[in-house]
Amino acid sequence: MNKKYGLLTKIAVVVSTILFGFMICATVITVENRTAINNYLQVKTYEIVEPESAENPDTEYFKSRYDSLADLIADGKKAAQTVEAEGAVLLKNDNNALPLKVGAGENKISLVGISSVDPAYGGRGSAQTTSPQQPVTPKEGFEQAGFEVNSALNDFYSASSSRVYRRAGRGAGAKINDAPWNTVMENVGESSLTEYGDAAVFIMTRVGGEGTDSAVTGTDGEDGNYLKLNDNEKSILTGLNGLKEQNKVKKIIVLLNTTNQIETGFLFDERYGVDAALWIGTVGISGFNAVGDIVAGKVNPGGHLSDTYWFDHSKNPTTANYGAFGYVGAEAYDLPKIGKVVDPKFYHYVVYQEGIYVGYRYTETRYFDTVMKTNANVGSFDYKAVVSHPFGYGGSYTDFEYSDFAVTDKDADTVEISVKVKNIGNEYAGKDVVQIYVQKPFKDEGANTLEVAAVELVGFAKTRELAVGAGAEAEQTLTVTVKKKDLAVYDNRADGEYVLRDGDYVFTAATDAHNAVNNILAFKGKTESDGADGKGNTALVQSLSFETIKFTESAGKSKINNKFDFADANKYFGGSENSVKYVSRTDWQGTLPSGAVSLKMTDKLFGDIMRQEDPKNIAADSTPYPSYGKKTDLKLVHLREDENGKIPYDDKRWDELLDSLTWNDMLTLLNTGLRTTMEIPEIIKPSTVEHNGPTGLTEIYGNNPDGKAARVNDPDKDKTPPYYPCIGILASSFDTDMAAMFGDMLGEDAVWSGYGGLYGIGLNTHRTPYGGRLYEYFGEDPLLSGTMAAAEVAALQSHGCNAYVKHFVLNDQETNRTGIGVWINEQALREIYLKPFDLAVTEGGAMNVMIAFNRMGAVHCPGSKELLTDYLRGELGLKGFAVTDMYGIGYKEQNMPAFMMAGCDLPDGEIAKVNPYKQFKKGHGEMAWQMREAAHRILYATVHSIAMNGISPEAQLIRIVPGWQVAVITLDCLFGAMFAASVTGAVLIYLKERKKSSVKNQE
Amino acid sequence: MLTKYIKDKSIGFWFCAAITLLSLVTSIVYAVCYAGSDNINWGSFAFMLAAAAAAVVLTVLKKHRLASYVQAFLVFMALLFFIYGIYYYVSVVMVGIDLDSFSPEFIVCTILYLLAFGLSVANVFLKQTKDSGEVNGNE
Repeated sequence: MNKKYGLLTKIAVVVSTILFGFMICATVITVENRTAINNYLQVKTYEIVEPESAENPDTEYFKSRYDSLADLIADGKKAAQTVEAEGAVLLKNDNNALPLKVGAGENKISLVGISSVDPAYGGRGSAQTTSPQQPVTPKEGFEQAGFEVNSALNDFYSASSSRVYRRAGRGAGAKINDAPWNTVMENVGESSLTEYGDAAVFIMTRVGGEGTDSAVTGTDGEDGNYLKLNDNEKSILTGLNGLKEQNKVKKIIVLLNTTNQIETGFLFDERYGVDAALWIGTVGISGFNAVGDIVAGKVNPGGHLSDTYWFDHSKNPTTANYGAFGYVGAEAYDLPKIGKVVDPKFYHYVVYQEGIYVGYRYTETRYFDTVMKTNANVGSFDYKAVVSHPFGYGGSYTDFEYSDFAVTDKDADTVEISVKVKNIGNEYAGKDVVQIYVQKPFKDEGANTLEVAAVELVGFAKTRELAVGAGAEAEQTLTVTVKKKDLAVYDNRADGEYVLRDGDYVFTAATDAHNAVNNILAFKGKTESDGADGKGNTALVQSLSFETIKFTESAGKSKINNKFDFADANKYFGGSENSVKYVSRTDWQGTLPSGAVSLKMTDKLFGDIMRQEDPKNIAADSTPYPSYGKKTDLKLVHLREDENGKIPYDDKRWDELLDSLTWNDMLTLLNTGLRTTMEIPEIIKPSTVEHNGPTGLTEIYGNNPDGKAARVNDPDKDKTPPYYPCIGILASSFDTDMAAMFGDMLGEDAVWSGYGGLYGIGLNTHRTPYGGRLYEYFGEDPLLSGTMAAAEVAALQSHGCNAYVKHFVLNDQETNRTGIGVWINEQALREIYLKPFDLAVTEGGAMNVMIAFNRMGAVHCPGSKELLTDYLRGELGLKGFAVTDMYGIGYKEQNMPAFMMAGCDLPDGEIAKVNPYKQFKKGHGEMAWQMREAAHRILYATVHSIAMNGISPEAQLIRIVPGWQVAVITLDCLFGAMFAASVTGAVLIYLKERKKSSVKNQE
Repeated sequence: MLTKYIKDKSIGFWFCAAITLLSLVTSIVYAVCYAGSDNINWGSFAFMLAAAAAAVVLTVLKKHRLASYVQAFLVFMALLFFIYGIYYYVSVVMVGIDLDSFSPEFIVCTILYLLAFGLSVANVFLKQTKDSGEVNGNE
């Protein structure tokens, strides 16, 4: 054989084999992930066609009030700036250091710290905006407010050689960095800071994100703790204070550009000489304009903390039980392994030992008990050494006075509280937040005590801007309605019930939680001589007596009772092998954690964990299957509304529509939920597009070809929507109007993006300051979180974008979030962690829920019937559907049938390739009915979403094969043909040569 | 005698031997790293072992040329199944939320697979014996 010819043939075979092999592999992978690819590539898989003969009804069910994206984006930026202005919190302002008098020559400032050029605009993870629009920088924000900013310093920080000083890494590998003071001096010089010495504004950043918590050890913060200062930050503060002492810098202002509470003792450390400090959170796209305006006095800060700020986080009782803990003895059990190591999803746990005493519920109750000397074992508690700023705290450039406080037992369900607020300052107008706290009756019943915090927030309101002066513009009477159910405690000792216990309920209007306690202490006759650290105002305290009221019926009309005994370690283990001593105010010293609770792996626990991993554990039954494929003229759009308005969930017509679906339609709908719900052509059910996230929509406006931006081909369709300050800042506004505005702007963005749903609002709790995703959640108080969320949800959904409130429930830390077992008693679970979801669903009307990755005790949250069916649907009355968190990370396809039986409707993933439901096509009627109900919920949510825009009753849905799929098929054919041709050629050549050789041998 | 045996062998033979050894190592490392995880693909493991076994059998049968072809094909199949098993993990790292860097196990396995694949493809083009005789298929 010609050698060259043979080599070419060999090359052809090898190359074509490799190309064909890789193409087949790519085809399999792309087919498995076609939904995600379609979403990513923004391609349509069908087209809605209206028959020519049809009338032309208005099918734009959800309209935008904007004519162009330019206008919407401009308003979004204004809204982000407003949220920041309303939420930023003045933490310190010695000698009225702020505002700086820009007009009076106090306008030359230095922005200090690497964060002056590299601040955090948002957190990390799924809520992070992809390809974000250019934000307002700190320098721009201060310059627009009238300041002259030190350019030499800004140039130094901006230089590429200074990139090494930027923060880096995350978790235990996080580096706070920053340029040490001597480096700043060497590069910029003292004279520059002196020239711009009206104030040094030091911006300090800590940023959290999904998947990783802030680390207690391992970072370059003090003691390795990310939420403490590092040496470089200390050197900067010390250096600035040195200049201040020489009168070269007049004021030191600290801006905490932080998602999590850092330890704030340094603000009061004389070595650092901090004059004023603001918590600004992460600021979003335009928040630095608001920050500049606040520092310049154009805006009077009106935010109040949605968290307690601590001097030392180790004093927080949650800290002992935060992080990674493995069941003792787990290695002796045959748990699933990755290689030789036990899969972390199966053996980690955390115990919420603190019970209800989260944040201020601990600090203020312990303080109250210390002053009241309630019991002998209260221990020594120096409030002033533990709390730097209480929950609800917020300074202002002016002063407010409260008067005319009145509490009225209005009716069977509510208490009405009013108070007059007056601006008594003489220079600055401003808004104030009135916080209503209640002290419920507490009875020491020994080991059977029902825990009650010393004060709880039960209502709040914000004034309009109150002018300076004596006129009516300077004052406003606020009325707050408090629901009696919010005065109840959850009594989990017997069958479980919300009960307003008989006794005296002490109400107070306060500026923060600590002020509330001091008011109540004064009301009880306690003074500074008794150990109180402030003077309370008895004029702002009133007491009402109530007889016992039991709240037994829920919004969802089902009976309220204990449903979560399986998540309480004491009830689950029965006290034999494992037990938890929950914190109790009857014995502070004896119950506060001295370390993490140690739990052992037991046979029962192992069995319960593993039982959920095998779909064969779902027993066959004789329940008749529902009908499939029955003919109907009904289309989904017919079930949107009729002459009586919105068609209810339980309308009979739903049965007719559901009867028309085939088994395969069910599989189509229930096997794929990766940021979408699938189309069903026969009933003209369009696909929906859902995306993240709580601080702003993350994808470009034109992402969904059915969105308005793509449909009208708006010139700005390739931009991402504005991103907003962290949710803690929104919460700190204590303003439901602000939350509604925020939800409204997200909803407008959703209309233009074509989002039928938003994976938000984030409703987990700031249980510890270390939580990775605190920037997506409101704060430590459930009433504040739930009330703000309800306003936001209602506004968002008015645009046809369904909220997926998340992460339901107890996903309060990121460490081992996939599969961690959270142990908690039902009182704490309901009063602290479920309440935000309760309010978002029952008051805000949240349509859907995203379920958390973690377990409750041994049970996966999406696998808990008690959580999803009995509580979420039964008690709260949720109408829409429940989707898992990102499917492939936390669970296997095989888990989904058990989740379905529990009330979880959809995976946030694509499990069609495994199709775990195939074994349930026969002999599992109960599963079939669950699947039908899941389809019902998905269809109900879809029909009330923006996905229905453009669909009339006469519309047809025509499938389209996306271009990329055509390309894949074409390449498959091409490479297949090449492969076949080259192999055939090679075989023919081989046979020919062999024949030749054989002839030659015969010769 | 050993010297003579070694001298009689072509470079292709040594490549084949090295790839066989590498296939064994790769399959063992892969199984140790990923057994029990969602990222294991036992098809890949089996193809890699089969590549080693086929090479040994065909070499014993003195089908050297065929051994190189079969070995390359099986290693390639192992690589494809490896990719199929690991792609979701790669996508999670690329998204950067739950994982922000590739694990040492992934890096080691990827290097081993790519090395085995590259060497086996190269071996297809190498001379398998010191004598010519490719046509009669006895290599």
